[in-house]
Amino acid sequence: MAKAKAKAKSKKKPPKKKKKAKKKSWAVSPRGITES
Amino acid sequence: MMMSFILGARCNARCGHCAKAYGPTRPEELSPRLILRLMDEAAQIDDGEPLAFAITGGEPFVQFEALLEVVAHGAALGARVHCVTNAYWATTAETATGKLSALRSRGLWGLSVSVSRFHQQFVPLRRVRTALQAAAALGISTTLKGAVVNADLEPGGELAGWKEQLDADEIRIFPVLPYLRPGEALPEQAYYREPGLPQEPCPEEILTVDFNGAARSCCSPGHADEFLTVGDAATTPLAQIERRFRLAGRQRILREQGPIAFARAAIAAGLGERLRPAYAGPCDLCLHIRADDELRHIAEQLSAAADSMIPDNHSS
Repeated sequence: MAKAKAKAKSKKKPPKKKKKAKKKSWAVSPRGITES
Repeated sequence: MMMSFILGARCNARCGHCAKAYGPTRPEELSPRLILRLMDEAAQIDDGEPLAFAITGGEPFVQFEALLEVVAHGAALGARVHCVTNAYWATTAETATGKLSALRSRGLWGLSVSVSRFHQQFVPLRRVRTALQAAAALGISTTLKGAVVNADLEPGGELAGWKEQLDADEIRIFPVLPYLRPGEALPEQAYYREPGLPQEPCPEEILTVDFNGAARSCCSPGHADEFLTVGDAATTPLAQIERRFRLAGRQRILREQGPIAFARAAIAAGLGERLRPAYAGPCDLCLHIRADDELRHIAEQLSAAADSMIPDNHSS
């Protein structure tokens, strides 16, 4: 029981993850010409 | 709800790929008072999307006081506000920081900076870099929007230079479409294209209000006519325009199936030879259909049929 509680607690507080950098794609995407 | 406002037709540049022929002598402006009213109305519409406003042009920084006013109003409503610019004003780091600090203090969330071989005739690349760097230092989310022709994609071409010199949180590279400033021309082989009909739906449907109040379901300046117009925002309540934007047959077809639905109907009607063998993407196909009287007629018929299927038809 205590083990299960400890497990639930650990689920509530996941270890902090480093923010993933956004993927950058320099490939052409099929969009129109947006303004400016 | 997300909306885009074309603050005005004035621009410091006169880019060859600008289908709407914006430039330094264009006087048209969308009244800030109207923008503020539309922002207020947009804040009352719950379409399940977060409230967001994009301010574009023309070049919105040539109307800087108006830009400050509308950014402040949108941000005060809790919206994410971002603006699109060519960065002509980023002459030095200090100037760029000054302009962007003023916008940041009024709640600007994001800055998109446009770049292309056409822009570069009017705005040196270092100003684009200066603007992006200043924005990033102020915590403003940055996007680089690069418009390309085939030559730009070659080794040592423009794109390689941008990769080397520019950085942003998001990079968006999109093709120049064959709808240029009147009087400008490029050889056909200059345009980026992929064989066949593009299968994708409309990639960025957004309710855009032009400087004359015309509301359209498109982010592209090539659509400056009735084809995607959903109302006159100067005279019509936004809720009514938004309903048409959401439910009208043409918009639903483009959103759910893409312009290929119109192309398929054209092929079935024996007009397949009017289509090109290759397109840059769905926007290119959509613009082509709009510009060809016979293809457009088919699209209008299909749209009207879809309109009539809307319960409690408010599509006109």
